[in-house]
Amino acid sequence: MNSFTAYIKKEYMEGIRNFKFLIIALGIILFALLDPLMLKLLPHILENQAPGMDLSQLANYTQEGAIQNYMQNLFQISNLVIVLTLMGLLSEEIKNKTLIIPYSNKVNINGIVLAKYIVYAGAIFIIILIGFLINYYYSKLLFPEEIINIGRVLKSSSIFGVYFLFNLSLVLLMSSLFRKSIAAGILSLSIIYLSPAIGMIEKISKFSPYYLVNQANILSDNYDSFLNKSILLTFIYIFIFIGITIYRMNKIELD
Amino acid sequence: MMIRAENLTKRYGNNKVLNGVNFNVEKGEIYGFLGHNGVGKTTTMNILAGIIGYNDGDITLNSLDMKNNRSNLKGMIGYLPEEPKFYPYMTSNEYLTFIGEVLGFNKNKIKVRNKELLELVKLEKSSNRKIGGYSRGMKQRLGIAVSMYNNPEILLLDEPSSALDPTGRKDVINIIKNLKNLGITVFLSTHILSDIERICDKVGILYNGKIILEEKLDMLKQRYLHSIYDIEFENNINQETIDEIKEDWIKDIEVKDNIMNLHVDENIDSRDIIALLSELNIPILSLNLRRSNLEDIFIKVVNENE
Repeated sequence: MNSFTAYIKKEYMEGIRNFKFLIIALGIILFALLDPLMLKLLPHILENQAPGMDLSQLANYTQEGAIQNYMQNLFQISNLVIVLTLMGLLSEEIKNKTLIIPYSNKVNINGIVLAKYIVYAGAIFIIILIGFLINYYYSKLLFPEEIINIGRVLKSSSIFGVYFLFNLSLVLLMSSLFRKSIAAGILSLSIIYLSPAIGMIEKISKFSPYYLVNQANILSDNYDSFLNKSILLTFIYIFIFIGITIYRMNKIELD
Repeated sequence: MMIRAENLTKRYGNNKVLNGVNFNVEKGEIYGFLGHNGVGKTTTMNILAGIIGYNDGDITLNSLDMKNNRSNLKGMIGYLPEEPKFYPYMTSNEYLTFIGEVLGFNKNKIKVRNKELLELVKLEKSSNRKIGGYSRGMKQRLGIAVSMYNNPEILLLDEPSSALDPTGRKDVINIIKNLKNLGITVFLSTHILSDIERICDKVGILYNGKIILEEKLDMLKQRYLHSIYDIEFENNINQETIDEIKEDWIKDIEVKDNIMNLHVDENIDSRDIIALLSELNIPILSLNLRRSNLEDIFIKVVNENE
């Protein structure tokens, strides 16, 4: 417990002083503002480029469309920002030998891994929630015609949050396996970006965490009945990944 | 016995770094652990600190077997790695607080201990500066403070003064001298032999994965230290000349071109040497007396084992 508390404070300090929280926040919140604006401006831009063209087929120019665009960017770009920012969570500590002194001082390895996960999981979850709320209110201002219920957006943000928690556990695991953080990052991103391909195989698509992204995009109360099971399954994956990370960190030789 | 290693073996794949290492360190002793770079000193230190495991052998620290008490022993041992690495965005005060929290100290105890240690290593004035801006010597001193946080009975110091400037080295050596007064057993790994001569009670030389010599420093000096006369002749020295020198008090003769190093008994003085040289009847250019030091002992012992 001592190690857990000490590392919670340490990770919080590192997140602020090394601007990790800020970078993640920018990577998530920036699109919350940009996407509705882009959707609003798109018809005007295209109108000048291709006069007379039917633009209604190109995109969904509503608040719902703006939020769905935001979720698309969360998957494509925010994932990239999160992975590149956090790929060195453990590998940098192993490579830079900053763990040697704590290891020789009776540190509890479970505490280190859990503290790292919890600090960034909390940060990502909160930032995503803020991102969705900003996106909701801004898109409401720009597309006041068809306003959707905020409850639906909060549900989608929570589902997306769980998906990002899975990605965080994946990055943490990869970071414990490689001494070079870039290797951990590339492998994590490969898994994340290839997961929609699994979604194409109908029989196993529901067992992939990417299924949560699909469900979050629905933005209605008509979620698939498997969603709750999928969330539970994602948490099981997270526990397994964290368990393997702890096992790996207990076995690693730091010299 | 505070530290005992018996038949310690460590392999990395097929490479046997430690091949049956044995040493004993008594309570309150400063033990100098000597060896070339890459001979396995840091590996031994990491094993003693519980950072890495070992393949074979037994280690006893303060009468506790390491295999069965690895986690309990960690709190009893202070460890300063060769190049201590800290979080550069923290100040030394914050880092010490972090270590105090890892060790489970309460806030008041942490505050008191931080102050004591920062004073001991003379970092109190820089305690609120980021470690990233510290010099190597300052980091080394902070490392010593961290290694002493838990009032350890055993302190493992891996090359604490290497790569430091003379002032930094002097500071670190003085701190280690003070540790002896506190009754702490210090296991000091280094390849700087003058440091060992200044502070150590006992010396162990690691070579080829084994301890090839272990002895109290004063006994070692008695046994090995002697006078060396460096004689420079006008011409190169031939074997005939060397064969002519048959005095009992000559311990060793080393020859290279026109330079002869004559290792002699302690009670021999320059008159005996001059008498010997006049018998040889060869012109000489210079004659210098020097005392052998730990470096000569180290080279001699290593050469004997090659």
